[in-house]
Amino acid sequence: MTRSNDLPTVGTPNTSREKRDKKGKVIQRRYYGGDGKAVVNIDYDRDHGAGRPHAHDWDWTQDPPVRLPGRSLTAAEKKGNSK
Amino acid sequence: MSARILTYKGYVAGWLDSSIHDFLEVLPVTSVSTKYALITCLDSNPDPASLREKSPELKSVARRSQVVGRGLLLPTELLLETDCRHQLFFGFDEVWFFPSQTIKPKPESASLLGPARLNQARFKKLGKWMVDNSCSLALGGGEGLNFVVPANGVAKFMLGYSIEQREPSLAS
Repeated sequence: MTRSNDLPTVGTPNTSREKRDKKGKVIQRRYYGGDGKAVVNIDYDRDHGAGRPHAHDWDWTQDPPVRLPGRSLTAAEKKGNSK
Repeated sequence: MSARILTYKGYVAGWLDSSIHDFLEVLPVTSVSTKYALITCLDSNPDPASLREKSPELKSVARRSQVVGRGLLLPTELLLETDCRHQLFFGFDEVWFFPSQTIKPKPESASLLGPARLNQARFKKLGKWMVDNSCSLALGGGEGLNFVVPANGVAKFMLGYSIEQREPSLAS
């Protein structure tokens, strides 16, 4: 069985982590906020109508927490995630 | 039965450190009980029907799928072919399998989607719909893979115990 290697939903505060494919290419980056909870994902390897790359915000006010549908990158996100 | 094992009627819930995409590689095309698949979440979007014209990944199945509620129903054979050729599932997806295509829309009030593992309250909200529609398998991706299957005997305990697994620790 291939392990998921999914990124954790909670990490070191104000950092980011990357998920890579089998060839080592970055396919997802997850940013953590000041409380260590995931704030946003940037997905590089898929579109599904939100463009490529696209972002997903996290909503921790819901129980359980929810990763929201994809959206276009903001200008700041584009700058920080240009290939 | 231990309170840690989540059950509803003949179903049991579990969890695997895997993904829908990887699991579909071992799902047999010929299984009668999983002849049709209902996609109710795709890449965190709970309205896959709205993505038929927008998602490049869905293009090849859009015309051959049927809208059920906000979900997309299609033959499992087509789903497996498509996901093998042009990956459809990347995480935060939800798919249900049935022996027939007479399916009522999934209740909006609960889902199998990660990152949280299933709990009894969420399971109860989904259970009646699963029984009424003869659901044979349910998969919810996110952080690992939530699943629900009909099971009995020792298999029910073994599969149910899987939900207790610790999350893998990732190297920094």
